[in-house]
Amino acid sequence: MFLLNVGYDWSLSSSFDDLRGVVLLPAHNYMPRFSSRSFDHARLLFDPQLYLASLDSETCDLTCSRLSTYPWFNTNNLPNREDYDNARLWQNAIRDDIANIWPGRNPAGDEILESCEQCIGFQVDIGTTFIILPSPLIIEREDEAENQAIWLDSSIEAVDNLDVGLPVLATVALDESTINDQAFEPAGFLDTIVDQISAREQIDGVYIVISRTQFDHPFSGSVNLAKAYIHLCSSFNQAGMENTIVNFADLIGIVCSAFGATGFGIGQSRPLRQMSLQAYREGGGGRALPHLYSHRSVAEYLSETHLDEITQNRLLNRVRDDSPFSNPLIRALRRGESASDVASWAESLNNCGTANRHFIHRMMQVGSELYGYGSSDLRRDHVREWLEGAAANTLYIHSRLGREPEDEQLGRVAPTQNWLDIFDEYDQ
Amino acid sequence: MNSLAVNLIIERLQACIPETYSIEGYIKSGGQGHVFRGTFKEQPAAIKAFNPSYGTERIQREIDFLSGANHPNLVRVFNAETIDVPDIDLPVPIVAYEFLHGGDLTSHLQPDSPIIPEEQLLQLGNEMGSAIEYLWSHRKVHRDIKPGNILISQDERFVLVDFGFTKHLDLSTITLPGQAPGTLGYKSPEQGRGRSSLTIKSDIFSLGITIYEVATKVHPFSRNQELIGRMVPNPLNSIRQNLSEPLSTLVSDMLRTVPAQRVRDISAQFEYLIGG
Repeated sequence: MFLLNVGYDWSLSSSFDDLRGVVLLPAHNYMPRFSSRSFDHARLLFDPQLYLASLDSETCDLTCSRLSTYPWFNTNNLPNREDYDNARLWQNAIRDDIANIWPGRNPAGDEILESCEQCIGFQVDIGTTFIILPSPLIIEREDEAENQAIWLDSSIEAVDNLDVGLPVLATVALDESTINDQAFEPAGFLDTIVDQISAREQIDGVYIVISRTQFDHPFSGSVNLAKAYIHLCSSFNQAGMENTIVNFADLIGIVCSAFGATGFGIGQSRPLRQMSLQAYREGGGGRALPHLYSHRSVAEYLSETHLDEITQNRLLNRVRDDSPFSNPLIRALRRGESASDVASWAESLNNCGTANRHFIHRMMQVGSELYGYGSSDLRRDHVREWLEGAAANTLYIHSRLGREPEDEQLGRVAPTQNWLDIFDEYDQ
Repeated sequence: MNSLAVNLIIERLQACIPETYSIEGYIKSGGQGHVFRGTFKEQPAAIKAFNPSYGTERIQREIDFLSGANHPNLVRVFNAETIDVPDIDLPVPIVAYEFLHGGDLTSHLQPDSPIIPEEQLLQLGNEMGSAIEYLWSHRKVHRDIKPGNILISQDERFVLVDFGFTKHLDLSTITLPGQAPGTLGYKSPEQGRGRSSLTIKSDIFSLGITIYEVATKVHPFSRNQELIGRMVPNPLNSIRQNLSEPLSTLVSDMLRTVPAQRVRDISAQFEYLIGG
């Protein structure tokens, strides 16, 4: 199942009638916002994002201000909402004093059970369909996820105390720096994490997030990052886990569906497509140009700079991607016009609304196709064909234009060949 | 240990133990101390005199857990005390356990010992599976399951003993960094790598080795810890051909290198085979 990551902008989640699942994210929303709005999606998930507990309030003050309104971060002296005339004044008061309010660390000791109960109780109150258990970010391989195990057992106790009758997903929140080549060895670091979770029979599933070291384009993630997502999905699948949801894996989430992932979460913008602590630093981002996402070449093309060249070289069929949002652009290009003739696709700053909708629409379609297959073998074949087709397409386009595959002057192309190599490694 | 030394120890202990205890004979000695046959409040008991240098924290942990445990396949503790013994600087902890008449499973590893029938192997898997599941429900891992730590009671129960290595997940490890507790040749691959945050899957692996060895008198990894996790043992019924395929498969599933791939619900699996 495709799940849309819902950030601050909620308009997207209500603009698709057939969007079946969303993941709500506290890093982008103050808590009262969720209390005052109901969601009617078939699958409603809320990621507690405890893995952001170590954010620095000096450099990430807005995100820390939002997170501090959720009690499981164990904040100090949070201003009382009732003491302020409106939400904006309250939020400003939090932000002004965030250095004192935000602990910048995981709750510990006796605080853990209380945090778990608050977090799980909140999810029950807003009507989620799964409970995602809070878990700190694993940043040291040598810790063997022991702290994660403590949180898991406290969460299980909290679920029991609160008598929650919903499926429970354990969070695997890993920092990319923990994933070296040895992490993949049998009974190694990643298998330790899988063991810790699968040995606890109260757990119904798992929710996987890997935080990237670099906040760059989603396609530029390391091979080990992609491999870790796939390894974890494959391992949890072999361990008989019923629900495995990957988030912030971007298109790797689609590959994961071939190895047991039952859902993948993606959002419309970079901070909602990938997880990186760097993404929450103030002052970055905010400027973007519209790209056409092409599922058949697994690439993104600037609407004028790249697509003009592609069209002029009669390669449009290799990259065109159909959706109600992209069709006006594709028709214009076929007529020999440019994206500049289609207002919603003109390559101007922050004119990304239609391009984003196209991307999300395509992800929804892909999710429906993938999970429409009755057998996992068919799903696996489908993913393999997609990757092989994309790799061939890219090779052809670059060959025709005499460009190197990594030449970004011809769009952002996903490393599908790397993904295929990983696919082959696990497809046994 | 020669009989002179044994008699000397018994004499010294008898002079110091409380009146509720009596020592009647010697059973064995090990790194943890000496075990004697005797009574506690006139009930037959195994009396263990711990070596004071073994570590009071380990001993206390074993006693604390077993005193509160209620499982037919975990050894029962009747009483625990510390006594002062002349010429020994530290107090000596002594513990009275239920006495298990049948001895331990190492006696079944001898070449001339009788073959254990399949029904009894299934009972062993079922009862020890139940014991380690009980431990895991308290988030404890035994970490030293082997034939020498499984005893047989008079009413023919298999009983797990020796909890000195047991680790509770929310306690800091007593084992120093670099020291891997357990017995070489019986440790799971992850335990052999020195991993401290073990789960029930580690005990399941060690139980798999134990059942394999007791069933065939052949150790699946030639008692070589280096081979564990690096080779797949021959199926159980390739060594002892009259064993059933389901039992052989189940033991192979217990011996998988990757913990999450090992069989879960171990007691239920053996119970199913008993029923079948």
